[in-house]
Amino acid sequence: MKPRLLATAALAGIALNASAQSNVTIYGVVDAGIVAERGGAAGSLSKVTSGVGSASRLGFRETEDLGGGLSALFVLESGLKVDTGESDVAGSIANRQALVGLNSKTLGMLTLGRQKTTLYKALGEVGDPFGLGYAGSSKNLFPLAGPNTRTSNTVAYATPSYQGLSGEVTYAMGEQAGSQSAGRQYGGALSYSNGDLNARLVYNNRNSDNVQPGVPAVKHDLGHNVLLVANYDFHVIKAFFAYGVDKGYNSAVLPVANAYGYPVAPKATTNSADLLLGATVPVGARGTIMTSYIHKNDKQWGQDASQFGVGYSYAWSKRTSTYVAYARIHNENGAGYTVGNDTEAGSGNSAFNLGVRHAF
Amino acid sequence: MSTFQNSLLTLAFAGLTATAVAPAFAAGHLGTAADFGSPASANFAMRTVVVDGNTKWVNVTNGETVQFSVEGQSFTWHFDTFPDETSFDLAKIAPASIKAGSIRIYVAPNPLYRG
Repeated sequence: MKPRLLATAALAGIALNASAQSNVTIYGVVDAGIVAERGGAAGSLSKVTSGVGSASRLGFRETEDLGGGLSALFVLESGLKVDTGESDVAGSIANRQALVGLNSKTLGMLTLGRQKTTLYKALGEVGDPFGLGYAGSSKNLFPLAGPNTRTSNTVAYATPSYQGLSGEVTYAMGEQAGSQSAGRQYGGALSYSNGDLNARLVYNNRNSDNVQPGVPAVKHDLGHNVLLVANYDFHVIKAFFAYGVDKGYNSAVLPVANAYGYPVAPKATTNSADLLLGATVPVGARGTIMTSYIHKNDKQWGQDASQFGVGYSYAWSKRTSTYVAYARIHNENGAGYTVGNDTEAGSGNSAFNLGVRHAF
Repeated sequence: MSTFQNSLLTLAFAGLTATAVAPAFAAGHLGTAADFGSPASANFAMRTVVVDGNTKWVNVTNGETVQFSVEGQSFTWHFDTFPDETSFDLAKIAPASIKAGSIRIYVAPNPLYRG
């Protein structure tokens, strides 16, 4: 009896100690909805989709105070599919974010790992009234496919905010023997927040070369993206603006290869510009209407596209909301863009969403 | 008998409605500082904002923990607002002893839940 009591006491001591030292936060989004897609080559498609409004995720993070204004932090975030229970990416435990670093109140934050690009963060946090989710997602037309979303092997540095002004630079190593530049990607952001105004100017540079031994070398010109995003809160309406210029190889990867089954598949452009005009409107204490118009100007092939999206989200609490959304794309000259959502690229030129989102 | 049954039904309905509505209100706006988050220990603050006579507003991010220094006094707040909450007065979260004046807080969405 006594040894067991002692053991219990000892265990309790350990547990107390551990909780006193560690302050890990578990967070995430569990989002699922009914999605009805129309206009694709294979016909109408209705399905239950995970992460329509915000990609479903499970994350762990911590900030540890090291004293003197210095703290350590980590984030491990995994994407998951609520409709099937599968992981977003098989064999990956933290595909969405995996980073560890140090933050100084005066010198800024340095982090290492798999991290979001400045391009992706600018649209998701400032430029897109849909926050990259729902049928009206700017991902349907803006160039956010693949490594333009997040990069592995990344060193990121963010300055502290000074009078509303802050900056960030990221450098993702290509990690190919014999070349420092092959496969690397880097970016920068200049952010300004001042009361009702949020604005950000970002740059993304992507090298798509492959010089790994044993395979023929593949070389391309660089892909560049410059993007300006802003939102301004007029209180009865919050206005959103985004304008991007995409030049070079892989600067605007097509989200879907040939959704409409054209005899000649749509071609990825190496010279395009994207414009977004949007708004969110509060309706009562808990409702929000989201809307945007997006135009992709393909200066190379003339395969332009325009999208109109509208959605409504009702917050039952800080954590739970239900939503409905609709968007439609008009493709020109054999363009093949589709209406997707935060998690899927979509199959047709229109889609309807109805779902529930819970954040914890 | 029918009156008795009706009364029972009314009671049952009233009870159901009350239980259904009460949690909904609890999950909604309380009209208190808790609508905007919670006080936190200064250790958890990622940055310190010095508020002086020239400060009209402060921009923060939802989910962020910020230490506010007002005329030599300080307090720390962890922001956790409703998704559609974009701005509110600092006075709503500042301790009564701190003069927050008419300074406005602007809340950007929590990046952990975006994209």
